[in-house]
Amino acid sequence: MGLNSSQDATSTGSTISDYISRDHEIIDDHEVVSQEDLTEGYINPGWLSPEPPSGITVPRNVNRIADDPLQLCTDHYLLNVGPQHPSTHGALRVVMELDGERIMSGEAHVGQLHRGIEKLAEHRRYHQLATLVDRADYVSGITAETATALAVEQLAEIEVPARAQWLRCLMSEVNRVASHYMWMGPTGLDSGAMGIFLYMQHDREIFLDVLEEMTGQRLMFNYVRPGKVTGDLTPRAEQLLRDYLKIGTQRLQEHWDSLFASELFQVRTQGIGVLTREQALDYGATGFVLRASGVDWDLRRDRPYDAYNQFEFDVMTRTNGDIFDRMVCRLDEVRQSLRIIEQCLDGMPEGPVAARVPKVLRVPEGEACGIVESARGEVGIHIYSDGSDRPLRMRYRPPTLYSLAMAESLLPGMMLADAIVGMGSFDFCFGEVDR
Amino acid sequence: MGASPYVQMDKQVLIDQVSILLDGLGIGAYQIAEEGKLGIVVRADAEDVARILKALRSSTELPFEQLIDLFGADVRERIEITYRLRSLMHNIDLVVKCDLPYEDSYSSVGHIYAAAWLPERELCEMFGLSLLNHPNPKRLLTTEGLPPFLRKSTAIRTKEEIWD
Repeated sequence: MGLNSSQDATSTGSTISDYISRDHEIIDDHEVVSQEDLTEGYINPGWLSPEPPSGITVPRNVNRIADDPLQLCTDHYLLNVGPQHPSTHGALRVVMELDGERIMSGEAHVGQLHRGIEKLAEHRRYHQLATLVDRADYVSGITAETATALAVEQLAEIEVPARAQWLRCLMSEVNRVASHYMWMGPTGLDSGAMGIFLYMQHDREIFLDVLEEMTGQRLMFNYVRPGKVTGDLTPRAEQLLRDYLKIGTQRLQEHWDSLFASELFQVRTQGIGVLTREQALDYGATGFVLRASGVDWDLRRDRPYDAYNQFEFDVMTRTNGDIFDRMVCRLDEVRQSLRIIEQCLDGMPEGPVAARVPKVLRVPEGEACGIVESARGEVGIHIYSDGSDRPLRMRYRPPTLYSLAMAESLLPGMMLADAIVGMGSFDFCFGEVDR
Repeated sequence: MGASPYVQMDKQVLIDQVSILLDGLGIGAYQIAEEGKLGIVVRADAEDVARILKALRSSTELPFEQLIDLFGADVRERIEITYRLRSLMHNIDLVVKCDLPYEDSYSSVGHIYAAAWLPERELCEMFGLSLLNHPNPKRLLTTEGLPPFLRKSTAIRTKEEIWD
């Protein structure tokens, strides 16, 4: 089969399908076509330009896997990924140097969402800080608000009513579940599973409805303030949660079956993007990244804040530290969060939800740091006070800024398609990285 | 009621052990004390900090495995840099602080704790310090030519806008 046969095909006015069917006939007749015949010279299939442009030599053996790998050596190639990409909450731009599909090096460029939250906080009164930190980690805002409130309460020595503490725990867990679902769905998308995203969004909506019912907002809650929370538990919110708790275990089993139990997904994620225990500690990992690498550490248990010392829950750890373990670790966390939510609803103490706090809060001079377990790791709010009604400096410790350095260090040697899933598995929130 | 498997170290024991460690290094000018709500704070000279962190990290009795946070603050006369270290085994945090004058240079500690690579870049761009011994000493969040935002001398509002 050479140049002449294809020219015959065009000259007799055959269509493409005729050409293909004739090709099949040849194969059906068991005509043996050697590899040399197929690649000899330039094959004009008839529907391309009749002749190769002059001055261009068409490479021989282009379809064959070369015995000598040096023949297929390619130049290194710079690829820009982002800043808009569905696997990043926010805007991340990564410039990768590729050798074929293998990444040689990668550098993350961040800052597209930089709004100067830490500087703006120096111009806000203490009860106004919650609106700012909401906009840092906009997927799980309650935890950052809690960290701010804890830091201010430490400095001003405010006693928080028990019911307010329990409500903070309840809302933190509701928000944690919503955030985990927001992350698991798109990570399914990254690894090629479409349906799971829709099911996760369906479940997340229930938790967003609860948050909206309690706070009036779906994302920017402004709910936890120094010394108080702004709203009590409403009957509808409690009913929504009770209804979900009835089906929660079954829903988690469905999520497991539809995504995690899939062999395709496991092959895509197991043993890839492995972060060892030593690396995780070295890079300052906290939260689920640390637990997936085998370190048994959870601020809710080891440094209990609010009412967390009164709940019964397990800290879920995994050992491999790969993408799959980071995913499973968080699915397990959802189950534990549902346990805490149930205990909150059952044992919520009666009483006020707000302490008596002056409208303009002046805190004594000093420093304090409030640390909480957010959905992404440890959020720490460090406040310097000079005795006025505004902080001298507020530092927001973003867990995903530290995860970003880990992801950067994992990139060399990964395949391009794995890198997208691998970066997604750290659950970056760029509102938080850039602040 | 889930009990922590880690027993928190007594603060006085920590102060004693860190003092012994730092005296062994031959570092003279440092203070260690419990400061209000912040816990145990070590204040040292900027040039000694790298040695202190290295000793704390590699110590067998007091392994501070993690650098949790690194940031600066403009305290109106100088820039105060804070390192928050954590020992998981002893379930305790240690804060190391040092002071730098304005327009000074900051030497990286990323080779001791890899966690420092990115926050150092942010620290130096936000306070106008020059970054030394860093493999990628570029700005992290903002573009070239912008002022160091977190300095008190950089105003983000005009005088009329400030409501006081």
